[in-house]
This record gives sequence, structure tokens and C-alpha cells, in this order.
Amino acid sequence: MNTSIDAILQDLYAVDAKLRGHEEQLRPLIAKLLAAKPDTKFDAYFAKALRRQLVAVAATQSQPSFFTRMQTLVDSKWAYSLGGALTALVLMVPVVYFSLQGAPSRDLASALRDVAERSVQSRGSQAFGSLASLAETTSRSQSGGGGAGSSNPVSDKVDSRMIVPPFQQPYRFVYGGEPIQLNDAQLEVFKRIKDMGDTSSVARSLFGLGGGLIDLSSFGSSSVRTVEFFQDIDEGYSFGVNFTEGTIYVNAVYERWFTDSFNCGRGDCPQPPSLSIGDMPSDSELLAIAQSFVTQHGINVSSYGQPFADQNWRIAYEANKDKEYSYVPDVVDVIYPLVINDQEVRDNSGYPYGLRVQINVRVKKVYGIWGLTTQRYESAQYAAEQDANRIVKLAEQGGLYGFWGEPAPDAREIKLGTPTRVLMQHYLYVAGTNEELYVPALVFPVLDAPTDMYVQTHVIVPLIKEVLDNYQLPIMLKEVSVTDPVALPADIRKVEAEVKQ
Amino acid sequence: MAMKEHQLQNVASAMAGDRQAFGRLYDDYVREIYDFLYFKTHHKETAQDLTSQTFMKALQHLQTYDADKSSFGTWLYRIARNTATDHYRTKRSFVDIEDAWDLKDDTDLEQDADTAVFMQKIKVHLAKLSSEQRDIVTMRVWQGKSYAEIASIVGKSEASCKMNFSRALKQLRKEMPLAVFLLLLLGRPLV
Repeated sequence: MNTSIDAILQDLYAVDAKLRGHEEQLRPLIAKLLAAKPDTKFDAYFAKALRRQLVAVAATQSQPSFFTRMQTLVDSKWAYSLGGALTALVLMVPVVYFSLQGAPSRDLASALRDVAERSVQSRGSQAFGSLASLAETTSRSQSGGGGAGSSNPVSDKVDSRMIVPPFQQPYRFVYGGEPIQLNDAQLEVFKRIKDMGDTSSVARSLFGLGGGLIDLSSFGSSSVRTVEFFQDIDEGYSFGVNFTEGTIYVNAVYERWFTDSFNCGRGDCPQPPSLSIGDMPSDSELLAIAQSFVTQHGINVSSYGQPFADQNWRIAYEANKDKEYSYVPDVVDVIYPLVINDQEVRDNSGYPYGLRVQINVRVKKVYGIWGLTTQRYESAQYAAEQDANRIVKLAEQGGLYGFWGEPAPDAREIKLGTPTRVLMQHYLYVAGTNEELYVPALVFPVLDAPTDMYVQTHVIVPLIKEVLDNYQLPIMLKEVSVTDPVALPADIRKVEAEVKQ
Repeated sequence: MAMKEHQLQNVASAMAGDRQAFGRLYDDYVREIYDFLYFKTHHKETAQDLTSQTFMKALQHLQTYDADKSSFGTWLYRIARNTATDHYRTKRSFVDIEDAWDLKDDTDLEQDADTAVFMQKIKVHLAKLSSEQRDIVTMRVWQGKSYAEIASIVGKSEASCKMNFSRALKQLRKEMPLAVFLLLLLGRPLV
């Protein structure tokens, strides 16, 4: 502080030497003013969002080849510094590894604390095994082992494709963005570590060692799968932890909310009137409600980006011409988008995925939260698609999960903009469990979507070859002709004839 | 603006295509670049927009950066200054406008409410300085930069910057009441 004051005083004296005689008055005045720093309204959320955007753009930019990169490094004056840093890293890894090996006794609080902070542990190439879907995984395990007795991999395949009714899309996507360059031969896939670790000490701390109706400790060493608590008050919450899935949830205790409606007999309560658009709080009000709840309950949102109010319901609302019958939801979500290694996570429709804080619009209170998960990940390299044409073709089809039928002959053309790099949540069913993966993907914005029909807001296409190679279009049902109705059995025809008489 | 060892490594890695390294460089500079742009615009959203543009340009032209000519921070400041100038010239179609201080009145000027009071007090005085003098004053007194750093950013000699700064302060001191002058030096909005 004194250094700053001295520097300012020197600046002052340099321009007005007479002020030197007033130093005693000036010094405390400057100190007081310095204590109140100027506010430039720096927004940390903005900074984080811009960082993600920059890193995503950097990923899609043309990059020098491996050999060029190596040459740049060798030529640069920083080569020796980098060498030193790499050596330090090699020396540090075993220390970090061994420090993670301990399994200290934990209570519930420490179990939650351990998994709250972000960690990513790098594994080897393709460390998560095959990223193929359930069908392929099952088929391969059945046909494995070789020999004459092995089954035919094709005939053994379980067709898990979606079956869709005959339908013609009233629109077609056309890519209208910048040329896409896919330079990476391999990309990093992330897997969330769902297991919250050894919970035996959590179990012991929950049921103690005593007896009574039953001596729970008689079961010996036990673990905790789920635990739930609730507030026995009006407008209270139930909240729980799923230790095997690594998730934490909060729900309204429904029977203690809107007690007038719940306690008025056998369901003959009057239905509350539908909400109108005027009842919907502003985005800033929704965000304030969510943020207040997050702060009050110490919810760790450090792994999530800038929250926003989910406006998806407005698409259907706007598309409905008769606003009197347009649906305004009772519950609206504020989404804190998940961010892993500076990449925003999207679901398989391309929509931001993350922590959802649900707000009941009628009472303007948080109604529940979901999507709060462990933040420990492993990462592994997988072969990436480098053929941009293949990616664009899939995008124009609506992505891997947005295809509902071929476009109609008179389909309206809707443009897709330049994509950005994100991670796509991808479930992999292996040996009876669902692995939660996050695979690199390109998300394409849908530009100028019509307001008179529902069109997805984003199209997402994963960039991992194995995921793409195992993708199959849904099975399209064919139109059934009604010109040749099925003939009725003879006895039925006889009865029918008698009835007609 | 001497670069630290880790920044040298990050610049090398970023130029070699490591996007996370560019993220780390961003972490080092985003706050001061944003602050610098806020002091030039007096408006949060505009400062954010120009900060985005500055870093996007830096990313796009990363391969043209020459570490022998300037530090990375200095390079970023130069981009930020040019971006702000472009913003006002494009917006108002006047070639003599370089930042919010040059606007003759506040018509259609986006300005944060609390900052506006502070700006009103000192604008009449600061507007008489050149844009470069204002940059020197704000970087020196609001961002605590050394004359050597400022000289590198504005592309002048250190002695020239010192002279410019001294002249600017003398001019301001002559015209401003001491209280307002102190507030300017401390960057303290009057609220």
C-alpha cells in the first residue's frame, strides 16, 4: 500500500511541487481512496465463457503438422525450458500417483468433498476399450475366441436401431458455414468416474454399532449405495446421494408443497389455472433465484460455465399461433453448462448439458436440482475422423440422433452455421453398466430456424471414428397400402353377411 | 513487460498448436486487457465485446507474433488499442475518434450508470488530451504500468512517454480541482 501511495505522491509532486507541503493530509486521503478500488465490472463468467470459445476456435483452426511443430520447438529459444518442464512433469507424476493411493477413513462430508474438485487422469490410448454400441459389444464378446464353434458375427448382431414410423421431414439442413479442417488424427475422450470410492466407513458412521430392532453392524463390512434425507417442513426438500452413480439430487417434498391442493380430499381439488406468458419471471429473476439457492447450499459450481435460463419451451410456445392454448410451463430450468478441459459439454441433441436448477414459476422458488455429479475423469486418446465431408453429411442429416426421415420433396431449406468444438455426452453400455463418456464433437448452430414449426436448435456430430463407424440409420417403417385389405376368414365373413342382412 | 518463464513456454506451445497453452496465456492477460478496454469505453458490454475481438485476433494472428520485438502482453495491448479505435471509428464514421473520451456528447453512447457520473466530472478535462496521452495516463495511474511497458505498447521511447505523461498531468492539474485530480489518479468513480 505504501509503495502505491509513494508512487502517487511522487507523480503529484512532479506536477505540483507545492503539494509536498501537504503530505500529512494527502497520505491518509490517498490511502482511504486506494482502499476502494475502481470497479471495472469484470465478470468471471464472461472470462470463462470467452476462454472456452477461444480454445474451441483454436481446435478448429488450421494447425501446423507434427513435424512443423517439432521444428518450431527445436528452433525456438524455449526448447531448453520446455525440456526442463517435461522432466519435472515426469518426476512429478509418480508423486501424484502415490499420493492418490491412500484410502483414508471417510465420513459422508469428506466423501462428497473428495469428488467435488475437478481431476482428469490421463490413461493410455484407447484405454476405455471399444466405444461401439451395445449391439456390437455383445456381438464381439460372443464371437470372440475364434475356432470352428464361434458364431457368425453378422447373424449374432442384436439390432438395437431405433424404429421410426414413415415420415418425411418438412425441412432439410444445408451446411452454409466456413470450410471445416479436421487436423487431429487422435482426440481425447473423457470418462466420468462415477464410483465415489470406499463407502464402508460412511456406512459405519451412518448406522453405528448398536442393536435394537436389528443390529445392522451384524452384516459386517457394508457399503452405501444411496442415502436420502428430507426436511419435514412445508416447502421442504429431499436430497440424496447415489454413491455408485456419483450423483447428488435435490427434490421438493411434493406433499409438503402446495398443501392446499394436496390436502383437500380425494383429488377433487380445483386445478390451478394455467400460467400465462406474463407469469414467467424474467431471465435475470430466474438466474437470481437459482444462484441464491446455489450459494445458500454451498453447491460447488466451479466445474460449470455461465448459467442461463432454459428457453426451449418457448420454441413450442412461439410455434403455436393460438396463444390462448400455448403451454407455459410451471417449472423452468436454469442450466449451468458442464465444462471439461475448457470444452463445453452438450447432450446428444447438441443442447448444453450440465447442472439443472429447476424453478417453480408459481412460487418462484427452486423445486429441485439434478445433474450435480462427481467431477473426476479419466481421459484416453481415440482415432478421430478427419474427413470433413463425412461430418458435414451427417450434420445435414440432423446428426446421429436427429434423423427422423428423409426430407420431403418440397422441404424447406435451413442453413447450418460454422461449428464449434464441444464434448458430447455418450453412454456406453458395457457388462451391465452404463459408462458415461464425453467424446469430442462438432456442434452446428441452426441458423434462422422457422418459428412456425419445431426445428432442433443445434446439430451435433461426434468426431471419434469408432462412434461414427458403428452408427446406423434408424429402421424406417414402410407405408402400408390400404388398396388390398387383408381378407377376412370365412366364418367371420359369414357372420358379417348375416349382420348386414 | 518482461515475460515470465511459464509465459515463454506457453507462447512457444501455443504457436506450435497447443490450444490449452493459448488458454493459459489468456488467463494471464484477460483481466488487464479487459480493464484497459473498460477505461477506454466506460461500458461493460462494449469492453467485453472488444476483449473478445482482441483475443480472437491474437489467436488468428498468433503465428505473426515475434517474441524478439515485444512481449506477448505488449502485443496484446497493441491489438486492444487498435480494436478500440476501429470500434469507435466504425460506429461513428468519424476518423478522429479513438475512444469514448473523444465523443463530443453522450448521445447514443453506451455507458454504465455509475461510471457515467465519474466520467462527467473528468471528461471535460481528459478530452483535451490526445488519445495517446490518455492511454499513457490510464496505464500509468490506473493499471500501474512502468514507463518501459507503456513505451513498448504505444511504440514510443521511454523518455517520450515520461514527458508525455508529465505534460498531461500538468495540464490536468492546472485545470482540475485537487479532489477531482486525485480521483482521476486513483481511478475512483464518484458514486
